[in-house]
Amino acid sequence: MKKTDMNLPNKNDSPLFFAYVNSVCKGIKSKKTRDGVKIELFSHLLDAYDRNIATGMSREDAEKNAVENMGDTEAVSKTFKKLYPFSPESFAKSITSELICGIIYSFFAIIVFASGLSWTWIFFLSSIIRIITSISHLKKVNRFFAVVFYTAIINLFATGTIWAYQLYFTAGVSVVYAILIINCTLASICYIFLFLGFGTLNSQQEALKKSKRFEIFLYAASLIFVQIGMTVLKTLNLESALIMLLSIFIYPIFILCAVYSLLAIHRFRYLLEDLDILPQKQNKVNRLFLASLMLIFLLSFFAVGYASARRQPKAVTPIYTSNEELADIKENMLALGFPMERLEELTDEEISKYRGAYQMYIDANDEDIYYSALDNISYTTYAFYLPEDDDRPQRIRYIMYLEYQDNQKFLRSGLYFSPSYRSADPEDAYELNEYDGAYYRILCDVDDETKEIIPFYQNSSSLGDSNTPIGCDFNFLNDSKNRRAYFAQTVIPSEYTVKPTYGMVISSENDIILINCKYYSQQYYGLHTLWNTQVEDYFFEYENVYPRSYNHGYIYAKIGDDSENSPS
Amino acid sequence: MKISKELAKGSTGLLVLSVLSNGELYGYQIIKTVELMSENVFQMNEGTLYPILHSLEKEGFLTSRWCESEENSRKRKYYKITDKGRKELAAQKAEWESYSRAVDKVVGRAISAT
Repeated sequence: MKKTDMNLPNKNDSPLFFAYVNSVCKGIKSKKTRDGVKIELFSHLLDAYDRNIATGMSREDAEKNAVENMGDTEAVSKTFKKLYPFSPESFAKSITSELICGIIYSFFAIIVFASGLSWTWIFFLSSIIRIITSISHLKKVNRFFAVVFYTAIINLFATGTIWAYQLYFTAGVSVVYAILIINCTLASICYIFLFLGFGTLNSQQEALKKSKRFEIFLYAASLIFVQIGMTVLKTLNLESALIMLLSIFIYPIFILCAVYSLLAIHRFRYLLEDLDILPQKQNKVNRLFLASLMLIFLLSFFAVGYASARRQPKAVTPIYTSNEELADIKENMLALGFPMERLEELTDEEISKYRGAYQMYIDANDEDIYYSALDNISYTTYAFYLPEDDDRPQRIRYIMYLEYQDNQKFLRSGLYFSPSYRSADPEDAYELNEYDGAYYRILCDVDDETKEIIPFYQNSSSLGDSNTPIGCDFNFLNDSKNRRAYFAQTVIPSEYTVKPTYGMVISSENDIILINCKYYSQQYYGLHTLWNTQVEDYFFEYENVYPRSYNHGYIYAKIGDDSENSPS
Repeated sequence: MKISKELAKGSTGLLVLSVLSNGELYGYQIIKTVELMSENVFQMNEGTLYPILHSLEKEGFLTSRWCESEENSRKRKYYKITDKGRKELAAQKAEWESYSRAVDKVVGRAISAT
């Protein structure tokens, strides 16, 4: 004997037997129980049939006799109905199972929605309809939308696989962390439900047997290790070490997380079985379904990572700077008024970052441009622009910079604060921010599909304080003295457009968008836009560039449009 | 000689537990074993066995597992008596013996009186 499949009786095998088992089982509310009884009775009838055939009966007689020997159908049906009555508990289980299904569907739907995949709406709507039809027991409708649902899932598999293939390392670190959290949550839900008695004795015992304390300990220890480790390393300003550590162990951690995922889902299966979502035992189809479910979860994690990674600028190749170019850059810097003594202090690498330095604009009045509840804080506005006669209009300078991180280069948009900036900073602002030596930066989202470059400032990192520069938590960066943000000239392809947001310094071909130094709240530090310590020394008078508005998200001005924007 | 169904009805649980105390069996086997052991005295409506089996399982006297016959790939649910079931069997046996002795005494005396 071997473990069985749970194939339900087929009408074609014997219409008489099929009718009998259906009639007997019609009163059993639980689908799982009902199916089990059907299989059991059908098997019994087949055994009786075989025996009758062996005694020389005709097929028809053998079939009839087998059913007759079962006795009064109604009586057996009533006994079963009495044995498995409708109960509030089973109703609660049913609702719970639908809720769990709903949570799972919603989980997928949210991921899909967030990732902007194709099939998003079909998937989302079909999952919603499935939940509704499941609850209302509209089986035919439900079955139809199940097909739509699974088709969408298959489509997502394909896309998700491509995503996973393209995963960024940094996003991977976040994914690992996310997997740990999700698994722990999933496992906790299972345990809670099982402990609350949602489940048969067997499934509870088996689930708990599989889990044991060691595994729970592993879950907790991993989370604590990661969290404490990150905190300690951050405190010690050793984030680079953390990144390196994670990069070394990234693949073992990935494998560990995958195993965790499988265990969590495996445990989850018991719960689903007991809630009649899955059959109690597995056949090939069910195993395939479960494997798919596991795959969905795993790919979903990857999808989360990739969706986040998409928010990350693409790596760009740094521009090699020859000696001739360096000389040109120096010359240009001096022409722009860069102090000679400062220039001599710079290394070639640093000088190369001034490539394309052009005249810069400073609000001559140095006026406050935004007033908020935070009194006593003044802001200074600076901007960069390209002259109209610029012969390289496709370039944006001093706006984008390259950040080197784990030997990867990321295109950023932002500003640089040197450690000595504090001396140039208004005292009150300094006291408030305490950004001694911090490197501020503004991340930039480059969308290769829409050809848009969208800088953003908010802390949009949903995956925790990983090394992934997804969004930018300024508090986090304040402590991040080991991060380096380099200015560099970066070539932006002409087909890209730049979308301005708060606090950005963006320049495109002819338009100049000034920096809006603005405090959003006390939590987020204002994006002060001083460029360097002796900033006044090498900022120039503006030419035809004026702030137009500073009440909105950005200040916009156009070169040459001085008729209505002349500074007062 | 066949026993009336009403008479056998109350003792089916005891019969099932007794049969299963010797090993794991599925429904059809249980019926046939009961028939065999009772020399065809107990011939129950086969359909009625299953609610009894499920009831005993629900009470924790039996456990079950699904298996597939290697012979014909047929799915069968095997039942096995639990420790709790053995205790119940012992209790029911004692009860039955007591009942049986009492019946014997009454019926025996009545028979000898005639």
